[in-house]
Amino acid sequence: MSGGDALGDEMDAPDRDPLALDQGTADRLLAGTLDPADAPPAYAGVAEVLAAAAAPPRADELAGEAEALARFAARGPAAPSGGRTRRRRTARVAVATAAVLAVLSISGAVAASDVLPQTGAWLGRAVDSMVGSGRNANTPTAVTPPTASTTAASVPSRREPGRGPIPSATTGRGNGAATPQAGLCTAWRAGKPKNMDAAAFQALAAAAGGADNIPAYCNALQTGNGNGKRDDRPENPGKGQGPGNQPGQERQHGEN
Amino acid sequence: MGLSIRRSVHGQPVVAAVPAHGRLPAAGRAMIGASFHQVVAGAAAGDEGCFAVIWRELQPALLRYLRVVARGAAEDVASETWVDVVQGLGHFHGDEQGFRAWVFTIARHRALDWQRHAARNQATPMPVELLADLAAGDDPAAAALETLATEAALELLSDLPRAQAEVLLLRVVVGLDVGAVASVVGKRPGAVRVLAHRGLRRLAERLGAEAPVPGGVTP
Repeated sequence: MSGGDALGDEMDAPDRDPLALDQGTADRLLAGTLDPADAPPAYAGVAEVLAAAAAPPRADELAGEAEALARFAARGPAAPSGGRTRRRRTARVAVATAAVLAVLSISGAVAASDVLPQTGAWLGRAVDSMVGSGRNANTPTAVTPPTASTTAASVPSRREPGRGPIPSATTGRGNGAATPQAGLCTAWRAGKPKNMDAAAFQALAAAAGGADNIPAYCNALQTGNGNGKRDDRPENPGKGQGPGNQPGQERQHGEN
Repeated sequence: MGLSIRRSVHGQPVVAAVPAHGRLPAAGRAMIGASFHQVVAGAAAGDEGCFAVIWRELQPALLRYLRVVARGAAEDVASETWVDVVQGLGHFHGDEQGFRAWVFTIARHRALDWQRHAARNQATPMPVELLADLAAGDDPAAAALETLATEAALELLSDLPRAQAEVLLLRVVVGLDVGAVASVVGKRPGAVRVLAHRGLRRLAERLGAEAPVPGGVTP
């Protein structure tokens, strides 16, 4: 380090300058290891101010945690990133993302139908309406990101699909339900059943009308939904409809 | 320093350090510690618990830093910063100090973006940053005093020349060492030392002018 010379003029004449500050004291002040009582008189107040600035976290500074976690769950670290070429990622990421989407979509599906066996038909209708009569048939406006309460209630619960409606999952959640199926399909393609979360696989099988129909179902979905996109982008469930796609994702971050 | 064990989604316990009493992490002291790589890898794989550890560890310092360098927009700029952090998690390689430096480099760029934007739209009034409601604690009065002390300290730091304030915050509040600060602000370590030194000195001048410390020399 070459800071010493540059500091020379400021560290001169400690006897005459009441604000003189040697580097050792400065380092201790900055590291927070200098008790105000032990600081040079002119720097006791500085030590107190710095200690206050670095005081332990307060509740209000952590108040946004639920929202931050909801955004994280919705977007995920491997969320779609516009035109950026994705490196090969482990299928695990896709499967983890799909598991979250699956739980969300199951919540919506179950809430909408109340009976699991109808889920497949319901999803089929949702897909049909999206593919056939325009993708926004069920979704007049952009889907808002999940609220903290919805996500907190539905994401961590790896509940079995047959348990009945989840109170917090309103029928509105079903609006975007067609989109997660694309994510399920890509996850299925990436990992095949062996890596896939059981709930996610069941949801996909139910949507396809049986495990045997999954390949055909996913192919149909991809064809209707792909818009020419490359199909090796597992984290891109459709286009702007799902909770995984929010503003700001296409921002480039060049800081890395 | 206390340890808290949280169970990750994948079932592996993640040991996370809880901030020591009295201060945010001091310079050079890693706070997530031994489990840091595990936490980052978990978050990059989508583990909410791991991300929560990172968020809790950095968010308070992030807000305090941004209260000074992006006054009036700290919360928004912090959110934007997290968007970028989450996107880049899978590409990050390095230790915890490097991670903090990376996050605050992003925050700094977002703050600069915001400043440029604010400068272009000068007609837009700056939103007044209100103190968030304090969560009801055992002693609300003490919590309020603590808050005011921190806010007052950040106010004082805000009055310093920006480069000095920034370096002091990164050193003291964020806990970065000289080299890490240098990489965040794009300056040489020697320049960072000078800025910190001048900032401390100016702070002492200001405090001395307001209330002469006992034993100090009145200006």
